[in-house]
Amino acid sequence: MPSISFILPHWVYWGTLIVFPIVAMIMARRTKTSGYSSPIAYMILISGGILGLHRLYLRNLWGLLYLPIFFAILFANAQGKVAREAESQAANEVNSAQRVIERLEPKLAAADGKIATLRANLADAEQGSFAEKRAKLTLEKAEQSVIDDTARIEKARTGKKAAEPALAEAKAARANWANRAFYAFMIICAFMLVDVALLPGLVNRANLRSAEEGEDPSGGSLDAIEHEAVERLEQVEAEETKKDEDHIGTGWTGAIDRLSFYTGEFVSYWMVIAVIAYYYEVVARYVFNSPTIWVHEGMYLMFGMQYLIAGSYAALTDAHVKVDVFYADWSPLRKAVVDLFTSIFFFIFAGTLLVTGWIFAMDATVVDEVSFSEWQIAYWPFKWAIVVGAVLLILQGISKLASDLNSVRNSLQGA
Amino acid sequence: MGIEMEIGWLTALMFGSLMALLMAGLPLAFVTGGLACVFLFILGDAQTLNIVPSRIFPLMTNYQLSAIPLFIFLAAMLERAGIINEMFDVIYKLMGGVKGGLAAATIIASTILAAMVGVIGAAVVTMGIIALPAMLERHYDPKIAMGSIMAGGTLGILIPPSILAIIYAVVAEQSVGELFIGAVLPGLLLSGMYIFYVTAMCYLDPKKGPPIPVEERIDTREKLRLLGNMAAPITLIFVVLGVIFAGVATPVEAAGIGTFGAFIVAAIHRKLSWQTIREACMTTLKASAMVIWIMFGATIFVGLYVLEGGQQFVEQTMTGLGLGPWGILILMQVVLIILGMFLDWVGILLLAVPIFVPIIRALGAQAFGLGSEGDLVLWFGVLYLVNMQMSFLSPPFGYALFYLRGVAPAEIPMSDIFKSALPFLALQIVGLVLCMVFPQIITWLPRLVYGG
Repeated sequence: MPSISFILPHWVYWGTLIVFPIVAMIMARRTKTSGYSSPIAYMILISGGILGLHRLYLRNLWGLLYLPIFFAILFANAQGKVAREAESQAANEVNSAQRVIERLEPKLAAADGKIATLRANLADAEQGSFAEKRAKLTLEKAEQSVIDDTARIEKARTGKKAAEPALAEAKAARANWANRAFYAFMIICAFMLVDVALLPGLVNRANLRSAEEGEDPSGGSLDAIEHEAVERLEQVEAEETKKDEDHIGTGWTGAIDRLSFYTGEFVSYWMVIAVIAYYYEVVARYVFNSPTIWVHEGMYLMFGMQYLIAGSYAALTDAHVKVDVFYADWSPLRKAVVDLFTSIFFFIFAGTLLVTGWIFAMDATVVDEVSFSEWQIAYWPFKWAIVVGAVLLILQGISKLASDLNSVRNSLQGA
Repeated sequence: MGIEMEIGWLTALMFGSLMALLMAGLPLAFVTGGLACVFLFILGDAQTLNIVPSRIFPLMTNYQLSAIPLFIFLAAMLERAGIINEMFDVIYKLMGGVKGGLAAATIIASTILAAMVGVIGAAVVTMGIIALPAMLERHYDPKIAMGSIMAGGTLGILIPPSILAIIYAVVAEQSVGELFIGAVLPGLLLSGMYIFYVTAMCYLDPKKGPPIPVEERIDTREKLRLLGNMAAPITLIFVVLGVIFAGVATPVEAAGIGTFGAFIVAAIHRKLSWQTIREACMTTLKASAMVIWIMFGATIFVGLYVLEGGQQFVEQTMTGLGLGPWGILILMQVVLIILGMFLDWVGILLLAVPIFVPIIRALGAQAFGLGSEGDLVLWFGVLYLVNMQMSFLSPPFGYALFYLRGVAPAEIPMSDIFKSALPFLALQIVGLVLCMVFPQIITWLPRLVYGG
């Protein structure tokens, strides 16, 4: 199986975070095409073609053929992993036996000479003297250690002999599984190549078929009430996004609102990047046996920035939960007056966040802090996200404050 | 300013001002954040305020938390793909012939949906639009109809993947996967009890839920075709939950693959377009920002309270009442239920759990007849999840009630919606008690999967 050792360069990471949302914002404003489309089909072929998803997308059941081959790759990889573990265990055994042999062999070779010297010493020593006793003891010890070492070396040799075939076997098994995975992968690649050519035709056929099936995309078995309900549902869903845009005011507060709205929309597209990145990580790990070092870190840091920057968008669209028990029943004037009071606490929080966040981010910038991981992405931009989030939040608070003041003024004039 | 304050007074002051500001309508995230800054300054000095970013940054770099936006996004994509209404359509056609079949179908569809989504809003709203008219048209008792929609919808935060379980796991430093598995059986237990209840009611009094007329029923071939339509989303559930339970991938990765799968499902249903993606992204952004900002504020607020000795204070007060371990546990559940009437679930989790979990830990696993501390924290976590089911249905501030109010026909009075929730609330209490008395319901499956 080919392995991929791609490490995302930092500039590509930052570049994607900036360019992708802009592209998405433009694309989302273009008109919708209905039916099956070739670009989507090709996009699915590139990302999920290995699973045959492009054919399933077109409701072409031949796509199911990809699945057993794909699972064969996963299975072969898992088996290859088992074989690799067995191999490294066997290799360990062989190596440690080899080390024992290498260490003991010269010692054993030297031992003969040593024992001869000791024998001579013993013969030289005076009968019954203390020196003779000591020489005898030393000789016995040396002889004993020769016996021990011979036994150990023998054991290591037999151990090595026993482990060597296991090692060879494990090696062969690993190569075997790797080959199988590779061939399965090649088959899928061949299928995908064929499909690259066939895809436009498949899309056309799918479109023709769906046109034949009639107007109703869900199969045409719904009766009137349910049809109405579905329409109402779609209407409610469409309104939800429109409702967000209705929060945007006019005049200078409208400019602030738009800032919050568009920064929110901008960072919201990062979600799609995360989906692609995690999918890449899982495929890289289980299909190509090469886990990445950058996906997890890059993604949670990206989400970290997103949470902070999204704060003002949520404030604009009233998404932050509050307790409505009493608040909902109050008159607009009373709401506005109470809001003016509670906004003190809002500004205390957002202001503290701005000032302390600034200090926090400055400290990181000065030392040019990078992450502890292998990827070593610069940390300071993430810390500056706190400051950016706080600034946006304060601006949004000012916009809300202005509208509250406005409604107090209007109520007083009206009274 | 460095003012010293007796902890009893501090407790009253901190939580008193919290309640006051909440009632005044300031969002919880800013109430906790603002008050935390005020009290940090009062108890410490301007330097102490530097705690704020150093508390927030770890949350920004928390790996587990990235599962939250991903799971919300997964749900949002499936919702836009029209899976939720199709699910109900399919299941009620399969079960329409049974008495009370539509209500049971609603609950079954909600249970399956709960295994796709980690939040409840979407399920209740969609079911309210799709299933409620379908049931009312066929002369179902509105109370049974609305109750089953709301009760089924709340299962979303219990049955994995659940956002609440992820946050609990982060706060209590538990494994997300274990909590997910632990919540499976209690979720199915509750779902089973709801189904049993509606079916029993409809058999006792067929006027409450008549079977649909014979001519509207469909044959087996049609049933199979409908099931085929659901193949893609059902496969998606099995893949996502399967890889988590098998330990093949982390919950975050599972959420990533799941969302990729949701794109494909949306494509198969011909709903994949940049507009759909935009809508799903923006919905997700709002929901996750809401959750995470409460975490920002509440972590600082509760962190400060614990630092000032609040936890010992609560512990001493509870033991001072002369309660045993079970007494304390029951008291905690009651407190959670009461909080659930007013506060939202993320808020309750972040305000109560950091204080409650250490107390439960200190009581020890033996006090509740459990094997290990891991079991204890897991058990308490799932009890909390079951408990939070009630917060969605309990008047006056149950979310499900208001979601349904937004989409139910105008001629149904709010009091009817309240009343329809009551029997299901009672069932939830029964479920909670069962899980307390028989901890095996929660701990058996995780032990089976993870061993130990």
